Amino acid sequence: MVRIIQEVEPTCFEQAVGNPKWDNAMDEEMAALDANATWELVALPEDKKAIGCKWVYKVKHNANGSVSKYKARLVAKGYAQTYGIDYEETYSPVAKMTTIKTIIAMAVAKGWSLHQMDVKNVFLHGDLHEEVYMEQPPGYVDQTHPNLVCGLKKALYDLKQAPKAWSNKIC
Amino acid sequence: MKKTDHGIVIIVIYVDDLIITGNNDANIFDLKKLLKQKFEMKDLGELRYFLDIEVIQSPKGIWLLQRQYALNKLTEYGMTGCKSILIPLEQNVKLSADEGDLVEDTTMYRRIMGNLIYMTITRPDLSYEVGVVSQFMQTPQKPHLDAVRHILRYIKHTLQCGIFYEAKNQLQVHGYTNANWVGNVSDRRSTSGFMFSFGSGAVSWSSKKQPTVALSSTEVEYKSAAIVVCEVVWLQKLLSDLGQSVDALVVIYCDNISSILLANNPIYHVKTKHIEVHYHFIRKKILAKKINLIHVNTENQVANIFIKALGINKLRKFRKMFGVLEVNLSLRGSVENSSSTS
Repeated sequence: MVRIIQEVEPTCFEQAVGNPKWDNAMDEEMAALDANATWELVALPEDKKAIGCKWVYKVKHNANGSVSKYKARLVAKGYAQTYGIDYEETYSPVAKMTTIKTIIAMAVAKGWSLHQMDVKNVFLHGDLHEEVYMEQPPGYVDQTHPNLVCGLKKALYDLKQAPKAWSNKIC
Repeated sequence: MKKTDHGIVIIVIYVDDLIITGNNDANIFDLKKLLKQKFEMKDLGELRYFLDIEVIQSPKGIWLLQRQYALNKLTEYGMTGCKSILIPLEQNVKLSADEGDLVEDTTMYRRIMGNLIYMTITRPDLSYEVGVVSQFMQTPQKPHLDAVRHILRYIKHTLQCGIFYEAKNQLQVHGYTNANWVGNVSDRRSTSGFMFSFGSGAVSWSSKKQPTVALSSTEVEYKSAAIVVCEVVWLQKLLSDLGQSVDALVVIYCDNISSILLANNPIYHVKTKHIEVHYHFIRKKILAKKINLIHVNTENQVANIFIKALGINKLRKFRKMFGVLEVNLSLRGSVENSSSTS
């Protein structure tokens, strides 16, 4: 019953790079960001600041404890954003646990079937209305334009407004 | 939620996780197809694992349990080898804020608290105990950590327990409310608890220290009942949003006769004049025939689980009344048999 091998998750890019599992995971994330047109490379306007970004690594497990996936996620350093300049509204609703239980109880009692889906790269779906600039991701700096920054078009994980941008899109 | 002539489809969204249900499978599949076109989505089929909660579907009903989550946490805190224990907290133990030496690793204490609070999603039998130990998060001391370990050992004992919702059941809502007067030795505040079950299993419950000091046990029970009535109002709203009829009177069980009398009879009394606001709120709902407060014997008062540590026999009995049962997949075995945890 006990999970014997606990995979070590790297804490920064330097620790992960060179390991094929994590390199793959990062390539996958970059491909998703590209396909989604999350940003375009632009010169940073003089009066703007670019926020940093970093890689976060996570080993995902199945319900039985076995490894299901190696996941690399590019996150923006949202804590460097300033209210009123980089973001405004941040509230986004999620379902209450009681609501979820009530709906499940109701579905069971009525004999309805229950299904599940998940959204890939959920926050990347949200459109960004504010102007946000971010440094190029570690390991994936454009060699021909190393001085340009990412002008964000879509929300990115850990941006203050990311959850809000997503809930606006779906509701 | 979408309602059409062909039926009803409900989507629950928790950031990137979606639960979809409805009375017509064709509609569900159409919706899935539509969602897949619009967003990049993965169809995970039948609901099985959601926010670290296992969902076990069987023809008899559905279990929600956090077995794997609990096991991971026990491993994380090096508790897998511990001796399991039958009750979450010793009876009659009163913990206060000033108990002795400070715990060395306060961050760990707080982290365990977070995990325990998450565990109460499917485990009403832990609510009171977790509520008690979480009151010492600011300055956790050795006896508090001992109590936390006690809870973890109980969790090990009840790893296979989860909430069970029986299939094809009557959708009757009923609630229980209870309170202990001056339960907290340090600040003399009282704890109130309630639970609501919907069909066969509990869906909503709470064990919470009241924000103000109460002058009598009647007042305490009365305020507790007011909290329940708020929950009823919300639950009825939710059910009507889900397309269910909510005309039926909701029965709430309470073991305090004087607070029931007070709610039903508008007599002015010098000892109750200061609780006027609560009083009007419940009265209005009773007059509108939305709820009915009914007396229940303490023996059958399941909300007792939220206001004090119970002995093993009562704990087992109430756990069963909540629908907290051991997962049992032998489909021929009756639900009754699967509930004995020992």
